[in-house]
Amino acid sequence: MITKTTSLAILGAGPAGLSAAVEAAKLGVDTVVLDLHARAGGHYFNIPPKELQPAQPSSVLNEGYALIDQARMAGVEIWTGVEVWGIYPESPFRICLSGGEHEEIQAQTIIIATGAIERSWPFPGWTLPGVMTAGGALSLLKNQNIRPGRKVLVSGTGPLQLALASELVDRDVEVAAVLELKTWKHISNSWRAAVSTAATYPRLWEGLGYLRTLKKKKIPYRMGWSVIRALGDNEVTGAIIARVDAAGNPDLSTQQTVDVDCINLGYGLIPETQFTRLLECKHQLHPYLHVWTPVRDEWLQTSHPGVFAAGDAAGVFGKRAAVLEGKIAGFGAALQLKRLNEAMAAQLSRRARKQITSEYAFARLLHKTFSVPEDPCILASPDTLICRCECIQYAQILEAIRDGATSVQAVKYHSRAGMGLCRGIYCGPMISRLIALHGDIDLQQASRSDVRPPIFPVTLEEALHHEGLP
Amino acid sequence: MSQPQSNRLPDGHNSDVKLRNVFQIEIDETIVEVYPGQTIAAVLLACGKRIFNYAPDGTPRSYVCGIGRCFNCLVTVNDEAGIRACKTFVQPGMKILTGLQEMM
Repeated sequence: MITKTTSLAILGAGPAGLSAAVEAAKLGVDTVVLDLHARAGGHYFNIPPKELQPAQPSSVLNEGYALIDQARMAGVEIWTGVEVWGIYPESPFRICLSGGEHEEIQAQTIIIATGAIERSWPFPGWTLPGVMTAGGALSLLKNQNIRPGRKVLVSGTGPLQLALASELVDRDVEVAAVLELKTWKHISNSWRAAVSTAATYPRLWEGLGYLRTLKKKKIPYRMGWSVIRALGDNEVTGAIIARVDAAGNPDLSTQQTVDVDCINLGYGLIPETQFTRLLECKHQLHPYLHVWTPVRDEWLQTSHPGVFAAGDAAGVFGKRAAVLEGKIAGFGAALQLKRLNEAMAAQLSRRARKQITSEYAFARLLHKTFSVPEDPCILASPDTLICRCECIQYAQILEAIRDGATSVQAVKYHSRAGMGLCRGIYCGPMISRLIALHGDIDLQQASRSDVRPPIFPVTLEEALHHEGLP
Repeated sequence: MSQPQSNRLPDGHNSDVKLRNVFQIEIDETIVEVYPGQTIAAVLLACGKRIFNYAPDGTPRSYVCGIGRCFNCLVTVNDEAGIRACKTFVQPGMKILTGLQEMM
């Protein structure tokens, strides 16, 4: 088996992972960054393939290129197109890989910087071809120069919606409407309380800029509205939209049909915690995201010694916070490896720690302002799929809960939800909240879900190879 | 006769990417001209082919997350099933089949 040994392995080559790599490498820590995608940079920078690279990259792209260069120049190895399917918590850690030259990398310390995924928000017809995430649509547009559809409905909550709508409009893609879940009253009340946060103003200005663009193009921007149904037999041919209340209940007297062939859903990002759960790190409930996030110390080390978590994988604080967290975790890993002493580490991380407090405050504001209703299936019908991979319907999940399932794990055994290819990362967060709502169990307990390797499909050959079998 | 990528935004439109080195692949036994750097998902959507596969319950599925995590965008490539179209790049001579039952 082809293996490599390193002092630090970083999962994820996004802003957090690369920033951590730079700091650790500068302190002499041999560092390898692993990423499942073909190019480093993660989803924030969204670096296009070489052949589709614009001659005049945007400032965001340039920032991404610069960070990758910085890492390479510091001596960091970046392995792209490599997927981690397991981590054996031995000493050193054994990280099982698929897709690259090496089948395993052994590391003394690990930083998990694998980012976030989009929250699922199910409604009748949501699995139809033509319904995609906002991030997926942005990627098609910016990275591949493809129109996601002929006419698009943008529905969700938060500033990313506006950014997406703006990108669609810039490329002359027809946008039928942009729907924001929260009302103007709710948003303005929330922001008024944040007037003292310095980080607010530039973002507010950006948001207003997007709204101006929409107004110029006469694209309706409706607040307190949502898509409630996707129409079509085999593909999206239209959508039904309606006003919704704070709990997400649609007011059917307001419902309208819109002629679209594409629906972009942006109901927020949630941390993807497969790896920290795989390593049985302690988790706690995030106050606004309704999901588990790993418990971390001041160096962002999890409860599993030698395992750190930074960036959106630990809580969705935005890119600026991800960079700062990456630095702190990088120093933390170097400290763990005794490449520097506590005093030195404290001094090096002082600036990042100071800067990050305002980022955390802004992130909290965003989460509070653009929170989703408590019931993740408020728009679902009994036959709406919740587990898309195994095709498990909402009614079946409720039945499992009624029959006494009190954790995501129990619902999985009862219904098969979460046993499919995505390993339950999309349905799990919804199921835990359903359990808390209907089973009257506290969300912390309801979220219990065990993760075992392989966490992504590998061939039997690959798996056996790892056990030392030919 | 090759299928046009009609959903491809025109070169130079808000992007100064000039494309070269066009090559051919087969999608459901039809020749399609593609460019290096395109993902299978992008090409399928560009050609208006939105049904990538059928799930075990018979429902049609397509591109959703775009980041290789949701496993809805599966297609068969060169006789290998379960390939994520969103993260796989087109290669010369590739044979892609859509509309099959990929999730097992």
